[in-house]
Amino acid sequence: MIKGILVINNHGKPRLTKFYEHLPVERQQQMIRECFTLISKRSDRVCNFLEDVGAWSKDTKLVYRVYATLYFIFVVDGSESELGILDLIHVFVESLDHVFENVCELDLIFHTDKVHHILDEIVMGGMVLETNLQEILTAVGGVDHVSKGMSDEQVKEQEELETKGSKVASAKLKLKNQLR
Amino acid sequence: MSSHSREFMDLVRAIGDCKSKQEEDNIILKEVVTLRQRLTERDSQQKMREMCMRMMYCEMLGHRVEFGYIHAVNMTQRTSLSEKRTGYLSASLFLDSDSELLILLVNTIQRDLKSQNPWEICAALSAVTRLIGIDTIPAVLKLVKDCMSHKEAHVRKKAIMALHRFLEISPSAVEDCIDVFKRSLSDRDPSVMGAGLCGLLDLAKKNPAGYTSIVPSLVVILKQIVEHRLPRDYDYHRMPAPWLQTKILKLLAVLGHANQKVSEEMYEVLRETMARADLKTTIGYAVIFECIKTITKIYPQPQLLALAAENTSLFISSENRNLRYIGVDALSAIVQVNMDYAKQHQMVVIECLEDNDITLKYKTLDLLFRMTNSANVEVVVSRMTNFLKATSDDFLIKDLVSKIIALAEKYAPSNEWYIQTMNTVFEQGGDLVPAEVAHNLMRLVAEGPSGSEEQDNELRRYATKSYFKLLPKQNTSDRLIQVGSWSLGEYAYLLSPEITLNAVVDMMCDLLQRNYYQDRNTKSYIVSAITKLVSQMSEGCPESTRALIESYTRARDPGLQQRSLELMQLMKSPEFMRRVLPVDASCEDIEVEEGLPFLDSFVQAAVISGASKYMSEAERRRAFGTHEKTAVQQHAESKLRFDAYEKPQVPSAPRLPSATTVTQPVQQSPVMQAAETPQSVDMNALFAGLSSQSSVQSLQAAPAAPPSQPPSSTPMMNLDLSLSGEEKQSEPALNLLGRKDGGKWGSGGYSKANPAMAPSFAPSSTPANDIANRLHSISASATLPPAAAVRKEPAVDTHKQQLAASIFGGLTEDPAPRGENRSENMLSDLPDTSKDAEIARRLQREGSDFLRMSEIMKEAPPQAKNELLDIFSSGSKPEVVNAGKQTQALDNIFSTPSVSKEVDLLSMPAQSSDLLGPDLISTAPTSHVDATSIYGDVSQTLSSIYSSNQPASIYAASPPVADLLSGPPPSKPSMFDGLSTQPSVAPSLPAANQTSSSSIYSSNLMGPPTTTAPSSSGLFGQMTLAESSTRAPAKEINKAPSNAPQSGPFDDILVSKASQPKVKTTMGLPSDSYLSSIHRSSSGLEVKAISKSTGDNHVLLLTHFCNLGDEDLNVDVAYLIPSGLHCSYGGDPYPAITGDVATLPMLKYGAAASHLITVMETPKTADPKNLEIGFKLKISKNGVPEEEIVQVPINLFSYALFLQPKVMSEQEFGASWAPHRFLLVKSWAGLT
Repeated sequence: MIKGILVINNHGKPRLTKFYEHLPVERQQQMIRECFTLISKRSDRVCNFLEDVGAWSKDTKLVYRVYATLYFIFVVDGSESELGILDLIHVFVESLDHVFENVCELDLIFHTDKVHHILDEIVMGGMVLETNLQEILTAVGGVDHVSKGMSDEQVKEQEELETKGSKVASAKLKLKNQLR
Repeated sequence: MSSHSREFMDLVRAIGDCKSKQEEDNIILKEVVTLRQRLTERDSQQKMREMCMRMMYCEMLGHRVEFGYIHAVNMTQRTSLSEKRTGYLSASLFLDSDSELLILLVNTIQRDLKSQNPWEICAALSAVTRLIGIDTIPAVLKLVKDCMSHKEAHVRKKAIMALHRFLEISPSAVEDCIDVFKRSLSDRDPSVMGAGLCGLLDLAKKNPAGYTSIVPSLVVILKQIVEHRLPRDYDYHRMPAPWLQTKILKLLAVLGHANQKVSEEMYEVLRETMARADLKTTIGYAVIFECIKTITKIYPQPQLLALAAENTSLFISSENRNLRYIGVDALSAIVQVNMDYAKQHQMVVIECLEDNDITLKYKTLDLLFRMTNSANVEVVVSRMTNFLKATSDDFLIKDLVSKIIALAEKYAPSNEWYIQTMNTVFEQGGDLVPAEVAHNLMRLVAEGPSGSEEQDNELRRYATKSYFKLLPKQNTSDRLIQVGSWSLGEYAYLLSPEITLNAVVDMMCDLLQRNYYQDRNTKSYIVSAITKLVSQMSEGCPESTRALIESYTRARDPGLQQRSLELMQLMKSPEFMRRVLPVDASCEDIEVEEGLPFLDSFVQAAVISGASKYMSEAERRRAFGTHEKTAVQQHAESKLRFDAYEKPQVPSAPRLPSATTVTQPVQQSPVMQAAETPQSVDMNALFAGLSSQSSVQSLQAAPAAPPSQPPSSTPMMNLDLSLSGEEKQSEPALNLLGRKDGGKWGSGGYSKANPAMAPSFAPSSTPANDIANRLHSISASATLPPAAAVRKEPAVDTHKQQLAASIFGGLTEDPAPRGENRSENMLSDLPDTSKDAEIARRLQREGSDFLRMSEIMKEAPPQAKNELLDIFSSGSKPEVVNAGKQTQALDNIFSTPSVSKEVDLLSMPAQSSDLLGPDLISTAPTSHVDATSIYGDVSQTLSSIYSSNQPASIYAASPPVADLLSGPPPSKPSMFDGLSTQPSVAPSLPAANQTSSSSIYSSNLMGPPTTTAPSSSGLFGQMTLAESSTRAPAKEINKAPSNAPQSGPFDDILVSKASQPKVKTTMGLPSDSYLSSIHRSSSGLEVKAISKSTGDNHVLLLTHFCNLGDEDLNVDVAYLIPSGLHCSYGGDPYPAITGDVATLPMLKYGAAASHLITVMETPKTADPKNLEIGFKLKISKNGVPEEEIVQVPINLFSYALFLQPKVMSEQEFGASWAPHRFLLVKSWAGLT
């Protein structure tokens, strides 16, 4: 089971946090700090796993990946495959990249909701739900209008489509955007 | 970006720019204030989505924004999908399943789950997995299940995830949805199938056997995936649906574990999966690794294992650290099945160990730990100790230490190596080494692993020598010092010529002077070692050492100080020192006499001089546990009158009339008249029983007795005389009674308790009071030697006056009516003469016994006399009863030893008869039997009140008569049923009878005011009452064979008692009575046993059973009597070993029954503490039999504290005192 997902920048500032076990805010902050101190010490030549992290219960591992200035940390228990999670992080980042086009740190803050939606498609209740990039993107709502710099009209159209919620509609929109 | 407000942009920028956490906090705090303000603005609704994001941001940085939660909840109700989704998202981030706002949200979720728009359903389902808790599952369960048949795969997959979440938090709630998971395997959408696998994995982990049926489907699915038959979408880096593969492999591992048949189905597909996995990508390795893990988990197949091992080398020899890490993991999985595969990777493993990646290193150590055997243990452990030396992480050290110790203990090639290793561990691990390890090592050294002493000594020499070298090093850990000091202390002599004891002691002294020890026991260890060494030094202790030790006699640590002082003391006599500290005797058994018998005489002396007996903590807790409960229950009932303990203020004069009132015929009491209802009829019936049976006889006897004695002018006068006469010797009498001995508590407690009783007694003249009072006064008198009881009173003025008043009140009215009415009325009901004859015979026998006894008494030391006197304390109880009536006459009677003895004895058969139950009573027409049965019931009632299994309100009910008498309601009918079969029952009972019957007892009414202990009245009331009631027949019989020897006049006894200031009679119980056990059986039966030593090797054992459970119990009681004990039960000698005696017929809830057993001729040699009588209880509860055995020491060394409260000081009693005292008053309040 995945216990939590943290995205922290290289200054230790959290950019995205999601916990699949309920924790009080103070404890969450403690976890974030602890994970960051542990991982930021590690050189990039060592493996991407960290075992027996004090803050979480025993049998907890940190699986992390570094993308530019961001640490993507998945806190998992022993039943998860480390390599699988490592690639899951990649799937997550890929989806972000697709949605935001060259995702950057600030996207995670300004589009927190969207990032969460993407994450919710990949991991649900601590379980890996979907790893198929296309499925994820469809579910998140097709092409992201914000990053594509669409006009207000298009936004409206997009929202209409969203409300209609049809897969076909969003696929059409995607096509339309591509044609442009 | 333009969609965001300036404020938000500035906030994010500010946060990005800030340098410290404080700065960041300040910014966020400011933002929280702004948000709070913005949310109240009218146009906030349009900006709500951004507001939510800002709130999320604040929460992420650790600042709560509770005020905004409601807005998030509100937003879920928007129609716009994006807003709704954001609403759900923020709600699920802010709230949890305990949140109050969830109630508002559940409604929305329910609506959205039924929505036409699949995205709305998806949003709701996401929130469901996060927010729905155990309580709210039922609200959404059905809707979520319905989603499983939704046409959209997105919905189905999220719904199954939601169900999985329910399964995690409350497996029972979704029991009927389990097939949903199985069905998901055949879903046409691979994502849904994948989601279902999560649930199946959890289910299979709990019950692998239940899911083996899905293995074929899993195998087919895996095959399909591997063969690229899934849509291309699912490929990841050209691997077909790798996460699905891993999930299925995990599931297969669980299902195939230790199941050959199921495992065989998987071999083929596993091989294929491994073969097809792409080795160019990480995810390919992930699949292979999962295969390896599955292969090692399931029933092993050699070829597959070989394949797995082969693949493992791909990982472990990879340059990629991640793969190496996984490889080590895989290798440890493989070595658990077959160790051989590890060999080929030895070098790589060692390489990993040298790696500077701590995670990898650590993982490798873990692998090494698993790979270790006796062949490689030295290498592995040396690696581990190297690692131990290098690391400074406490967590790692602890783990390593435990691993090294485990290996060393399991595979140690030699003891020297073991000690060496342990020394290193102690050195490096320091205080992180658990203390048991040190103890294990010491035990090894002490006990010696080999059989031969020579080898063991070699080992000891080795160990000791190593410690001699190690300890002086700087910064040695406390644990090492402790182990070393102990070893040196024990075995330094083995090093002898090479290293002298002096050198060792010098070294130890150096150690002692160090000041950096963490553990304060360390220095104690050192001093102990020095002590042992000094005892072996022929030339004695060096002066420097002595000085050092002396300085430690003032150490702050008490352990160290004590040891130093001991050493100083021991040094004074070297001979003695050698004796207490023999060389190499650490393994010798020291015999400890746990009973500390050498202290017995000391304890005995202390007890005699007034100390209270010891009660183990468990007993105390048990005793007070029940007690406190009672107190609480009664407290709920009515307010406690603390003024009960005030100084007595009621003058004697006003008491007189009130006491008189009590003695008035019952009809005069308005209460009684009011009670001329069925209850009072019951009362009448009871009194009929009383009067018609025993009291009749006593009355008959009363007039009969006086002629034989010089009649006193008036009984009143008589008593008066005795009172004034006794005044002079009141001091010894007091001591005798233990009132003063009780410490500051004693007399104060007594006298204070008095007024509490007085007001409650005096005004009420209901028979209930009467009986209650009677019971109390009688039981009180039971505790006090009769004459002493009278004498005691003058000591305290008020007491004396009260007593006088109450006694006189009774006296003035009593004798005449009683004598006349009774005798006439009851003569017709004379008991069965044959029975009487039998009793007479026994009396004669006992009479001679008594003669012998009184002889002994004359010569016996005072203490023994006291014990003997206790015989009379029961036998003479009635004397107090009679004191008011015809002191002279009764004195006369009781001065006849045979009579008093006989009374005692007779009471027992009488008593025991009542345990035969109402049925028997009704068939046994002998008068005293009936009388005692009634008393028995009354006292049972009281004791059941005391044990408070009834709501206290019963006692407080205004006509308490019937309640009191019948006690727990269910027992009422049976009691009266028994009576009604008697010839002279209620109907025929004239009112006058009641008068007399009550007046008999009214004479005692205000009796010795010491009767505060309800327990005594409850538990002993039975005995004493029985005795007083049997007094009459006794007398009568005595008259018939009047040739009973008349030796040992009672007065003499009294004198001898009075002259024994040390004797302590405790309140409520004679000092030799013990509440042996309160036992609650599982079926709600409470068993109390009270043993009462009568002093002449007789022990009365009163067992009392009370049904506290709500079922009706049928109890068969068999007593297990140790051979050598002669018991009498119901007057007949009891079969020596076992016998089933009594059936307690259907005990209704709250009902009680008692047995009385006399244990005769306790063997003098046997320690009474070890004599136990067992009860075998066969309890049938609703027809289901249970069996329990209760062992009860017949003479327990401990007291039940609450039975003798007056000898306890408040300090002794501790915190339990207050509730206890409280209870005493309470139960009195309940009784009156």
